[in-house]
Order: sequence, then structure tokens, then C-alpha cells
Amino acid sequence: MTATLDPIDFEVLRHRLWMINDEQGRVAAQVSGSPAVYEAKDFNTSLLTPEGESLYVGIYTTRLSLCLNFAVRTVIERLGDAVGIEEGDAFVTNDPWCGAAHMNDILMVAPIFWEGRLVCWAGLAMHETDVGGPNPGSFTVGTPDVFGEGPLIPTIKMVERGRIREDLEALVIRNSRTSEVNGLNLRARIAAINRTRERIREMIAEYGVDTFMALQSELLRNVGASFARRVRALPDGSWRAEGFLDHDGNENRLYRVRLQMTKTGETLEFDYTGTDRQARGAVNCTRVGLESGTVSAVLPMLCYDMPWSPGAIMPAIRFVSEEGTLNNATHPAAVSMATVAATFATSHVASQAIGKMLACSDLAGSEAQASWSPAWQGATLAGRHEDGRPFTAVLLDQGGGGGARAWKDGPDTGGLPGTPAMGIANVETYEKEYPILYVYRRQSRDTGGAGRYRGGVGTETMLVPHRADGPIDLTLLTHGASQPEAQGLYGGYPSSVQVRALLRGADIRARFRQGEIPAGLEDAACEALEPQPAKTRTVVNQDDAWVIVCAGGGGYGDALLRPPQAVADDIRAGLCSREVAEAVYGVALDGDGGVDAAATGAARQAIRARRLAEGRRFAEAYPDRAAPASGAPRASGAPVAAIGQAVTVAERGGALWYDCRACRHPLAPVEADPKTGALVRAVPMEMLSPWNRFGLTGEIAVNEYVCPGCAHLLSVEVRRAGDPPLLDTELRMASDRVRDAAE
Amino acid sequence: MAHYIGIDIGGTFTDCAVLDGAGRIVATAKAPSTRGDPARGVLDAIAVAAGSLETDLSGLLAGCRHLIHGCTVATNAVVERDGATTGLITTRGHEDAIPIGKVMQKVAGQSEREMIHQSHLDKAEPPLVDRRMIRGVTERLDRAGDVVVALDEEEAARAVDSLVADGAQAIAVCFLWSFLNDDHERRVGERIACDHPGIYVTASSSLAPVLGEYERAVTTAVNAYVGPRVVDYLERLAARLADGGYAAPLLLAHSMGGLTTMEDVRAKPLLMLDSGPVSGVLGARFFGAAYGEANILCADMGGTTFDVAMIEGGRSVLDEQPVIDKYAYLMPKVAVSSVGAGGGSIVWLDENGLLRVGPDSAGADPGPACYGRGGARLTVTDVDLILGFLAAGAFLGGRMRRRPPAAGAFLGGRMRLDRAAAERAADALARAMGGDRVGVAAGAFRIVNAHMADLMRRCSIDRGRDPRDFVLFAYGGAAAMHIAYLARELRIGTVYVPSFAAVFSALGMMTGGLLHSEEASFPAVFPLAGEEWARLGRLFEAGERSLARLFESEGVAEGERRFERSLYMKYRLQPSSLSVPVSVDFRDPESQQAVVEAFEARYSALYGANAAYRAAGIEIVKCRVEGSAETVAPALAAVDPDPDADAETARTGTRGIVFPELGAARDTPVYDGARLVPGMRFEGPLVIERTGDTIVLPSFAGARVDGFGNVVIAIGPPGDGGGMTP
Repeated sequence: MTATLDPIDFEVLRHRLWMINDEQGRVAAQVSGSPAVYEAKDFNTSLLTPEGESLYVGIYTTRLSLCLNFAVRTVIERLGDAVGIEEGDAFVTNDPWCGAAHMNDILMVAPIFWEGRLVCWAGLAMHETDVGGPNPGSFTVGTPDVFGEGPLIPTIKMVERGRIREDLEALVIRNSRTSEVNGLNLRARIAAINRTRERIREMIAEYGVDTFMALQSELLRNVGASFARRVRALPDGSWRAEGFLDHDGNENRLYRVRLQMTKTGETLEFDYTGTDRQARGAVNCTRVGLESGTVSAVLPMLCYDMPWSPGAIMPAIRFVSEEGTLNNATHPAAVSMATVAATFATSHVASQAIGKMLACSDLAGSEAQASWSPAWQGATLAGRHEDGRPFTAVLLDQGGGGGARAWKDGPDTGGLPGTPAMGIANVETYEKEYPILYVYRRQSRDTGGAGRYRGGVGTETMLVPHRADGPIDLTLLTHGASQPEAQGLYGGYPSSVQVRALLRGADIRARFRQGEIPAGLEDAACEALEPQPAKTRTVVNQDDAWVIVCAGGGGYGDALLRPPQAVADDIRAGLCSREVAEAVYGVALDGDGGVDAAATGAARQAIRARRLAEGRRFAEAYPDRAAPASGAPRASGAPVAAIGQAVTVAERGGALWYDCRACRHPLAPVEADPKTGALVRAVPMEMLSPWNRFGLTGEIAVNEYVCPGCAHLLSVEVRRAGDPPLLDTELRMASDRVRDAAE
Repeated sequence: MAHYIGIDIGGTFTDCAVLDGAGRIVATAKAPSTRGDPARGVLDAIAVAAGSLETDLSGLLAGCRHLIHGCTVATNAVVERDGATTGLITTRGHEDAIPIGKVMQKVAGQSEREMIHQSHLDKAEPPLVDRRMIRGVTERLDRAGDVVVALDEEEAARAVDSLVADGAQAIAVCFLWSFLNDDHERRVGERIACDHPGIYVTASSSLAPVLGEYERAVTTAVNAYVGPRVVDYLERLAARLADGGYAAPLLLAHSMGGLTTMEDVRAKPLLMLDSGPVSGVLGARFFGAAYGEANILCADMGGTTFDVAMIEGGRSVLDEQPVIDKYAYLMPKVAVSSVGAGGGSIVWLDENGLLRVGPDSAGADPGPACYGRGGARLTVTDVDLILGFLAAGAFLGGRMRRRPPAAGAFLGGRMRLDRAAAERAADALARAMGGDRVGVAAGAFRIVNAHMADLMRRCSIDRGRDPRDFVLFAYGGAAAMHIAYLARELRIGTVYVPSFAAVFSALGMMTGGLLHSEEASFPAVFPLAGEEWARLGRLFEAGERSLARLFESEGVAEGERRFERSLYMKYRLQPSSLSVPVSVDFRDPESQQAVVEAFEARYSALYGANAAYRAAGIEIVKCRVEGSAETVAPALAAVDPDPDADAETARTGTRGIVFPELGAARDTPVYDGARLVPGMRFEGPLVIERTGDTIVLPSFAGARVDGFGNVVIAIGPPGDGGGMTP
């Protein structure tokens, strides 16, 4: 492979190869029969080097971004000699210890040859509605381990030299409740790979195989250089983030995913040490989930202007993790919910840490963004239509909200992070296929985190059985039902909790007959209102209804700095309640819904006064965590850096200090966390959103950190009650910056 | 003397072409487009054409048998958010369908590059319909079309009143499942017409009666939003044309690739959305038919965009769910893929020191460096100038869709290009790269051609087609300079560059015929019961009767009407369907078999062997009838080529031009497009300068002028020193 590539050729061919991978995804989405694929875009595609490095990964579900790379390596290492790798072959697996993210994802990878030489791999991972096991939809509630879940298919060669092995195809789809669609989707994968193989061969026929091989190494080198440059320009330091997974499928306890991300020079280290041990339930993920989850935060947040080439960025990323933990689980851990549980949580904490790093960088104004919606809200249903036909459904229409940005609110009902192309199906599409009726589907007020810029809101739906025969077997799964989980950034508040409530014996049908459509949870009478924990499996009867509310994104900056008119507009658009406007934003309205400026000024003053009065000095609240007292800082010099809109770093007498960005009050020396110089107070989470009353209010603490000088809100954290503070920001400023600042 | 006038309003110019009764092009004319009052530009352009025919406006209009018109009024209203203040009445509980936008509104119609920038994803801003102008009304149907909650008509009337009080000029009505039962929508529509006769009303069930409440609501809302503007404009224009002596009905070019009349547009003004680029496709289809070419890739490269469309088997390919400004709607439109790779695309060096082209564009303002309007960055137009393809005094034609040029930029139709400014921009890159000016220009030229070829490849391969089975048709101000190289990248042997490129859209729409369509939702799974299959047949017949009534009102004789039926089919649970032409006897249930086989054949052709999977079941989504009538204007007339025509008579001189496949600059012959005569033959390398564009004939290409005055380029076989391998 000595061919060198002319830079113009490289640009021409790079573009063409990228289009080939893009086409793979487009074909799969067109042909697939799963709404999970064509609407929610729960799939991904990749082109890989002969060794299994991913050259390009599609823009679909980035939480699957490294699965194909793991899958190809598994083929090479375990099957290369045993069963052989030949032209026209395709390999299939759904085993999370062979590359799949969880059993629902069936992966297909195929080698591409040119004149007998392996020149690259192509592959697709796609989510199937059901792959068997005790639970319709195959997300298994109630199992302690993998033996109680859908069957594993370790890597097999399902297509042999261009011929489908129908015996093996039958094995792949046999255990599913939706085997027809799974069969169609296998063909979708084959169609996409056929197309890719043709396109790659055309390209080699035109340019020669040496050029094609040189293109691959040049591509990795080139994108690697772009990524190194991006990372180098960010400040050195460590940022910490913690997320909670509530409920393991068996009991409602909080599992912690802990991350310390350290950026040094051109490398990023993701250290998950301290993450809880693997759970006795289906929420774990394997190592591929840990790595893919992390990369799914890196790609959209740091690679937003370069090709998505995981093989190129992996050399700059290091992982530290203990085996046997929640996101690095060993067999026989249960993993069927992995993608929507531990992998998602891993991605979520990684994006929080990256968001914090960006807020501390020169890119803050154009790239810093708070957390998006923290988790998918899954609902799987099984039962019978009125004519007796059985059905199994996964409802994928739970749209979360986007995180607030340093310059703008997060997009309302923007969806989930790391899945830019995802969509939700029309209500009519679901009602056509399944015996259910949407009483409403709308944007849900108070679900986004408050802030100078607020997080986007999520959706809220109410459903009833309609034209069903008998009860419906309903499984609900998510996390963030106990605690607000989409965190705000540097003073922004978190999202609401995710809500799922059953209305037993509701009056919905009677109301319909009376010519009324219930307007919400409070507007519907029922015999019992049953809020559900994060994972649940239950039976829904004809007169029951259920409501699902999706958390939105986190806020950015202090809510008291939001223009009152923007709050009034949100109230009018149904995105914010008057209660939250008053308690959190300190905005008072007049009788016509306009801003009452005087009352607003007074309300905001009162909130600030309360923050100062109720806030305790950090050293008093956490004596064992406080930084050693330093001498009183002298007059402040020029600011040398900023952390979002909350804090600046300024030189004070030869040392660097964190100052409040609003009033320049000194907070702490730069070696400590800025929180250590703040006042801390706990606020009740029900104040932040009325939905939070459905969370574990007694066990969750929401702590505000405010400037002792002016009550400017610097940070908000969500902790398990009794947890130590999350010291999350540790800038390592080179001494030359001190010198520069002193001059 | 009877004649025919085609008028196309573009962003910069309003173009006019006039045919005589024998199909000869007797006049072409341009006048500046007049944004505030587009009708004035139309009359101006007709007057200019009249002048060249030594008559006046009324003289030309009085003798005009058909006036065929395309305009950007609807597109501008959406893009500039200048439409009517629109209210939406919808099912209570589902008021947020458009704001939620299926979550994916934030990426609809966006390029992959835009989609991966997560922190910058946003929905359509501002929304076409303000959330405060959306009112839910108590009513609910289910999937069988049965009433679950009765319509509260008084509540609906109050909601309408409040919308009108809040300033609504147009109201869209879209209820869930209305495509199966239009009773509620119809009653609300009638109530609005009765209570508020001045309000423009549109109901989803009469516009797009198919499944999908989001897209149906968007379609209805967009229709309402553009309706008053479009109808108002066209009525005024019709009146002014009538004043001028034009007696026949105005014919309008629409986005499905045909013509229609005011009757149709009054109810479906969104038919006019994006109809401009479609007219060029019509022209290409016409010439394709004349040449016996059934498969054509159309390349329209202007100052700011590169549009690609496809004609397959003599028919233009339709996009069933086009997107405008992030809104997906349900009115089939000739599929035109657009990318920002026009002459304005910026050439730049990335951080790794690699030369890149686009996607950022210098747009129309400041435009390329050579426009001398302050643009300092190298663009593709600058590259064309540096290589010598473009002469410094060249006229820059092409469509500029959104923004009119700065005042005074065009001096008598010609713009003096600043070569030194282009060279400075290239030199800056050359220094940074350690190369030379011409090397930068030649590299950029190759990259932009390859990117455009990739797009065309995708356009054809998405339809399961190999680009090598196509010919190319090139128009727009910048296309003719690049097209021979593009063709070579795509291994396409024949390229047509039409004469009258500058007014090609105006000409193209005159080659279209009347085209109407009716759709109906018909969800069903094969095999259908005999009576259901027969019902489908009756649905087709009803659609044909409705189109026949429209033809009747347009005076189209029965013998001239042609109907085509198609079914939209898919494997069960798939998101998108394929249209399958059907001409079977619906009284015979056995005829289903042939339809299923036709579907599977189409499917396999698109997605390859092993992709079909009958076990999933096959279903029908909707049915569609198209009614067409032959072209209204006479076929364009060709003259017999003169076998003795001597190309040298058109030669004006030589200039130094760099053909990338030949290396350094060489003295190259230049020909005058105005002096081309049918029958002339050329061998590259050379350039032909025409009003509106420059045809570049590289060393590997030859050309001839055909009887229409079109230039037909033949691309030599690869490997003889072409642009593919350096």
C-alpha cells in the first residue's frame, strides 16, 4: 500500500466515499419496515477498514457508533480462521458481547473484496421491535440476568458467497413476535450492503485498488488531525459529571454513573471509575455501550464540522473503567435495556462533561449547550385488535427537548441527543396499526429546565385503548422518573422528571360520549391515579388511560436574568406555568398576561434576598470538602477566561481566581472549584416544576450555588440526599497564563 | 397570426419567449423582475418582445392564443414569510402537531453537514402559523373514520371568530382522520365561508386526503398561507392582460410538471410552489422526446445553486413529500435536488491544508471576487475566469432566486468582471498551499465537478438507475462551462446544451401540456376482496370524472384527454411507497396478481436481488389519477441542418485558456454563439460564447449544432488524457 494520494484526488474521493455510506443509511431507512428504523432512526451504518476501523459512521443513532467496529473485530478474531471470510459473505449477531448494543439490535457486517483481496467492510445495526424473550418488545422487566431475556445470537455467517442461508435466517427471526418485519429488515440490510458493494467496486474500477487503500489511511490521518486540533484548542482540565439510573427492572433504586473527563493537550480521557457495580436487572450495558455512548457525545459536540470517522478520533480518546460495572457489564448481566439505560446514561454524563468543558472554552458562545432530554421513554404494548388479531407495538413518539445554549433556548420537542435525524410518527400512523387512541399529544409545559435561556420542553401524551379486544400488556421504561436528570449548565436549572401515570377506571370514554375531550391529567376523573416508577410492566384495561410526560433539556445561566417578556411569551405558548414563572423566574404578570415590571423587580429582589439568607457558606455546609483558606485576594486584574455566564477567571496578585461574572466578587482560587467560594442552599424540586411531585422528592436534593456578593446563581446540582457536593470544574491553567495576565 | 407567449418570473429577470403558429421561436426578451408588483415585469417583458416583433403590447396580446406563465410569488411568500396571517383549526388535543413537527422538522430538507451540528439545530423560524393562531376544536374521528367525539360546531364557529379577531386572513382546517370522513372539516369550512366570506379557507380533506396529520396540516397551512397572495396576484395579472387584449384563459406552470388554469390554482395555490426550476425540466423532457432520449439528467447551475432533476422513461420523477423551509408537505412535485454548489461556491483551504469547495457560497452579494463588490474569497466563478473559460466581459445569466442584485450591477446586460481581483483571491490560497494560481484553480475546478457528479450519481442511484444510461441536459448560466467534465466523471457520452439558455424556463413551460391530478387514500392489504377491488376501480373512475369536469371547464375536447392511473404500494409497515402504473380491469379480482408482480418488479429494480420480502405483506396506500392533454403550444420547430455549414465562420479569435487535462494555458479558439448555424461541427479544445453562457468544449469532446440550435456535445472515451486522472 505505497500509493500516495494527490490532495485533489483525496478531496474528490473522500466526498464520494462519504456519499456511499450515506446512501447505505438511506436505502436501509427506505426499505425497512420498522418505525424504529425509518422514523426514530434507531440504526446506524458504517464503512470500515479491512482491520475494522470505522471510516465513516452514519448520522443516525450515534449510541451505536462503535458497534459495527466491535462486530467486525469479533468476526476477524473469532471466525476468521474457524469459518472463513469470503467474497459475498455477511455476518449477523445481536450479542452484546460480540458488538451489539443490546439484543434488539441485529447487526450485519459484510467484507468487500476486490480481486480476492479484502478491501473494506460495510455494515448496519438496526433495532428490531421484538427479538423474543418473556417481555413483548424484548426490553425485559423483572429478570435478574441475561438468561431471562431474548435469545442471544453470537456472530454467525448468514449469507454465504451471496446466498442467504435460509436455515440461519429462520434462526435469526424465529423467536420474535414480529418475525415478518424482522425478516423484511434483514432484507433491508442486504439491500443496503448490495448497493455499497457495487459502489465501492465502481470506485476501485475507476481509481485502482491502491488508491482506494491509500484513501482509507489518508482519511483516518486527516480527520484525526482535525480532531486533535479541536481538542488542543480547548482548555486543559478535568470536568466531572454524574448521572443516575433509577430502577433496575426489579427494584427502584438509584444507580450512579460517575465520570471524570480529563483533557490534556490533544487527548481526552473518560474515567468512569466509581460507577456502581452492574445491576441485577436489564439496565446494564457492555463495554461496547460504554465506548459508543461516550463517542455519541463526542461526535455531535466536538466533531460538528468534520466527517464522523470514529476510527480517526479513537486514538485521541482513552477510557478508564472497571469491569463488572453498570456500563462495562460482564456476562451474565442482563442487558436488554442497555441502549436506553446504561449506554444512554453514559452518553448523558459524557455530554454534560463536554458541555462544561465547552462552556469554559473560547467556543462557549457558539457551542456550549446544556443536557438534552436525559432518556428515551419507551412504551411497548401487546394485545389483540377488536377482530382478534394479535399485535406488538413499540411507541417511539416520546419527544424530549434540547438543552439550552449559551445564546438561545433549547429547541422545544427537539428529540433526543445524538440522533439528529430522528423523528416521531404521526398519531394517525400509530392509531392505524394499533388499537389505541391519542386523547392528546402536545408540548408539555414546565418540562424544560429554567434559565437565562431555558431548555426545550418535551411532549406529553394521553392514550386510551380503542377497538382493542381484552387488556393490553404494557411495559414502560425510562430513567429520570425519580429525579430531574437533564442538568442545566452553570446556573441553569435541570429539566423536570419524566412522568408516567396510569389512570385506572378513567372517565375518558364517557367524556367522549358527552362531547368532551379531557385537557390533561387533572381534567380526567379516575378511580385511582398510579404514578409509575422508571420501569414497569402492567395490564391496561378498556377503561384505563395512561399519560407520558417527557423531560425536556437543561437550562443555561441564572433564570433571574431571563427577559420577563420571554417568560410571558412562554406562558402564552403553553410552555411555562404561572407558578414556575413566579417561583423560579420571579416574573409577575398583569391581568392581560403582560409583564408587571414593578412586581417582577420586587419578586426577583425577594428571590435574591432569599438565596443570600438561606445560603450557607460552602465551608460550613461541607467542612471536609472546603479548600484551605487563602489570604484575602487583592484587587482584581484583567479577566483571562470565563466559565459560561457564571464565572470569570481573573488574576489577583499573581494568582488566578474565580470571580462572579456579574459582580466580580472573588469566589475561590483557580486550584479549587468555584463552588467552594459560593453559598449553597437546597431547594425543593417541586418548586422547579409541578411535574416533579411525581419524583422521589424525599430522596433527591437540588442544590443551588450562588455568589455571596450578588446572589447570582452559579451552578445547580441534582444529588442523592446525603451525597457530597459535585466539584465538577478543575481548570489547569498553565503558569504562562498567569504571567500573561500579570503583564 | 396566432402565437404563444411563455413568461417566467425569476429573481432577477422576467423572461419571455414567443412562438409563432408553426412553433418557431420568433422573439425572446427579458425585463427586470419587479418585486412589489410582479405583473409589471410581466407586461414589460411582453412589451420588449412585442417591440422586437414590431408591434406593441396590445398587438401581441390580442394575437396570442395562449399565454403560459410561471411565477415565484408562492415561493417568495414562504421563504420571506410574507404570506397571509394564517390561522389553523384542528382537533382538540392535537394543536401542537405542527410545532412538534414530528421532532424531525429541525432537520427536514437539511444537508448532512447541517444535521450533525447538534447545538445549531432548530425548527422552522419563525413558524408559518404562530402557535397562538392554532385553535383546537372538540371533535374526533378514529381510524375507521367513525365519529368518537361529535363536532361542536358552535365552538368551532367561536374559534374561527377569535382567529379573525386576531387578524387571520386565511384559515386552514385539518382534523385527524378527515381523509376518511370529511364531514367535520366540510362543516367547519362551510361555516367559515358563511360567517366570514372574505377569509381564504382551505380544508385538508380536499387538498391532500392522505394519512399523516402533520404533513396534512402543513400542506393545508401552507396552502392557506400562500393562497391570498397567489390568487390576488394572478387575478390582477389576468385583468391587466385582458385589458391589454388577451382573450384566452391564463395557463399556469405548476410544480408537478404541467400546466393548469386559474380554477385549479384558486383551490390549490401551493401548486405554484417552486414551479420555476420545474419549467426547465419540462423543456428538457420536450427535447428529450424530440431526440428519442427517454432518460435525462438535468443540470441547472446558476449563480448560487446547482439543481438536479431526472427524467426517466420520458417522465419526470416526482417527489411525493417535498420540503420547503423545513416544512414537509403533500403535493407531489417534480423532484429537484438542490445544493449550494453554483458559481458562488467558495474555494478554501481547510485546517489540514487541503483544498475544498463549498458548501459556503458568496451568494449574489458580495458574490465572487471578480464581481468587484467586495468579495475577497475565491469562488467557482473566479476559477472559471482564471482558467480562461469565462471572458472578462461575459454576461452572467442564470437564476438568482432569492436576492435581487445590487443596483447597477448589470450594465446593459453585461457585467465587467475583475480578473485581477479573482487572481488575488487565488494567489492568497496558492501562497498558503505552496502552489501556483493555476494549480489552485484547476484543482478547485476538478473538485467542484466531482462533487456535482456525486450529487447527480446519488440522484440517479436513489432511483435504482445507473447514470451511464442517461444523457445530460445543461442549462443555467454556469452549467455549460462544467458540463463536459461532469459528463466525463459520470461516464455519460452525450450532453445537450439548449439554445436560448437565458429564457429556457419560459420556453420550457410552453412545451408542457395541461396536467391535473386527483388522489384518494385507499388503505388496503393484498389480496383484496373482490368487492373492495371493484370499489378501487370505481374510485379511479370518480377521480377521472372529476378531472373530466375540469377539462370541460378548460375547453379540452374529450378526445384530447388522457388518463393514467397509478397505485402507491409498499410492503406492510414500510414508510414510503412506490407508484405503480395500473391499467387492469378492476372487475376481475384476479387482476390483482399482475399489479403485485408489477410492484415487486419495480421494487427489485430499485433495491436489488434479495431485497424483496413478500412474507411481510403488500399494501396499497393511495391511488392517483393523472389527466393530461397534449401540449397547448405547437411543437418547437427544427430546421434542417446545413451539411456544409462552416464552423470557422463563427470564430471570433483566440484567447489563452487552461484546460486542466492539457496543463498550461494555450491559445484556444473562441466562437460566437450568435453565429452558430445548424450543421456546424466542432472539435475541442475551444469555447463558444453565447448570450447568457459559455460552452466549454474540452480536448476530449466534440460538438455539433442541431436543427433547434442546441449544441450537442459528444464526450470521447475515457483514458485519452481526460480530466479524470491527473
